Amino acid sequence: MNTPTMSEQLLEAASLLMIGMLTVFIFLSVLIISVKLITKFVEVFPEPEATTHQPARPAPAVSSQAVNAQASASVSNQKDVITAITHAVTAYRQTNQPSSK
Amino acid sequence: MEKLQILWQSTALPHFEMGQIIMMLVGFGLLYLAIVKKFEPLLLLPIGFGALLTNIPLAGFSEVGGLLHYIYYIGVDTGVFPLLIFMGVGAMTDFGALIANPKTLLLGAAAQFGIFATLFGAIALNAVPGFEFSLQDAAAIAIIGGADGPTAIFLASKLAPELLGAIAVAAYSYMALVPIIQPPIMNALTTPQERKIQMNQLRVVTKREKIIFPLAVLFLTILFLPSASPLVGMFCLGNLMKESGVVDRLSNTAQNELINIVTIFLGLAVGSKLSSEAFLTVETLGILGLGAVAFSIGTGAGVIMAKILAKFSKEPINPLIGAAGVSAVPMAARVVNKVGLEANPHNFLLMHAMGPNVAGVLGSAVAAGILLALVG
Repeated sequence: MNTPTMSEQLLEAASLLMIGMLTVFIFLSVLIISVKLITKFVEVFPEPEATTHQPARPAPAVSSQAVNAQASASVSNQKDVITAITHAVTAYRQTNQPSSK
Repeated sequence: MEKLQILWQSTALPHFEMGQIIMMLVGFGLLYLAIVKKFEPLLLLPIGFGALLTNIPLAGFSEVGGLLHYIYYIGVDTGVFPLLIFMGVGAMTDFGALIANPKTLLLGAAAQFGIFATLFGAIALNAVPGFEFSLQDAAAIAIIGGADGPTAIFLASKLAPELLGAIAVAAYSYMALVPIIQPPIMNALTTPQERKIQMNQLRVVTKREKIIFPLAVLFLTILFLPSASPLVGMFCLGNLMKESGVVDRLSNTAQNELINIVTIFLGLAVGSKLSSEAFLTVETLGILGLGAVAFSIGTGAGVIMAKILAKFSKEPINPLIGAAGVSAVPMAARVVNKVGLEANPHNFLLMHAMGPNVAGVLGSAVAAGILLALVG
C-alpha cells in the first residue's frame, strides 16, 4: 500500500534534486558572466572624477585662509602624485593583462 | 488546609510534566554549549533561555497572550526577523574576493548539492517506520545543508513551522561544529600535494564594481527567481548600504544595533518552539542526523567541484577552498585557511576562500528560492 506513494515521492525528490542543482548552476553561471561584464564596463569607464574629486573634498572643510592656501597647495601636490600613480597603474595593467588572461 | 492545597496548586511543582522537564534540560544543555563551549553563543544562549521560559508550567509564555507567542508571531511567522538578519549580514559581507575571482561562484553552487541530496535522503527516510516527512518538511530540513541560519529559519517558517525549533537548533549547532565536521572530509578528498597549492594574489576590486555587484544580483533575481527576492533583496540592500559609502549610519545600524536586537528576539522565538510535544519525537533525531549528512555532502561536493575547476583553470586552484562553498561565513573560510596552513605553513587561503564562502550565501539563498517556488 505504502510503496507506490513512497516511490512517487522519491521520484519527485530526485527530480527536485536535478532541477534544483541545474537552476543553481545556471543562475550562478549567469552571475559569473555578469560579474565579468561589470569588470569590463568598469575598465572601459574608469572612475574619472575619483582622481580629482576625492582629494578636493578636504579643502572646503578648512575655514581659515592660510590653511586653505596650504591645503590647495597640498591638493595640487596630491593631484600630481595621483596622476603619477594612475599612469603607473595603467602601464602595469597594460603590460600584465596578457599574462593573466 | 484548603488554603495550603490552593497554594500548592499555584506552584509549578504539581504541574510539571516529564516532557517539560526534559525540554528544560535541553535548554540548559544549549546554555551550556553557548556559555562553556562558546558554540554560536549569540544564538544558542537566547534559544536555550527561550526553551526554559516556554516550558515553565502555568506561565504560558508561548500561549496566546504570552510574550514569546507574540515575538514568534510578529517576527518568525511572518519571516521578518530572518530577513532583517540577512540585511545585516549583507552589510557585513565584502564581495571583493568573489568579484576578483568570479569562477568561485561555481563552488558556492556545487556546495548546494548537500541541500538537494538531503531532500532526497529525508524522503528516503520515510521508509523507516516512525518517519513521515512531507516534501515540504524534507525541503525545510534539507536547507540545513546550506549552513545558513537565517535562510534555514526563513524557509522552515514558510514550509514546516512545526519543525522550526529542531531545524534551527540543528542549523546553528552544525554551524558551530564546522571546524570539527569539515577537516576530515577535506583531508579525505584531497592529496597533500593538492593541499599545498598556492594561489595567485587576487586583484584589487574597484569601488564601482562593488556598488554595481549587489544591483546586478538583485536584477538577476528579479528576472529569474522572484521567490528568492525576499532573501536576496534584503541581502543586497545591506550590501549596497555598505559599499555605496553614502549611508554609513544606516550600514552601521544594520550590521550592529539592528542585527543584535533582532538576534535576541529571533533566538527567543526559536527557543519558544522547543516544546516537548514538538521536539521530543523521532523526527527530531532524523533532522539532526540529516543535517549532519547535508553538511558533509555540501562540503564534499564543494571540494570535488574545486578539483574539477582546477583541471580547466590556467591559474592554480587549491581544492580546499571548495569546502568554503557551504555558507557559514566566515567560519568555513577560516577552517580552509587552517587546513591549508597545516599542509603548507606559507599558504594563506583565507582571502581565496572568502570568494566561495560568500558565493555559498548567495547559493543557499537561491536554493531556498527554488525550494519555495517548487515545493511551497
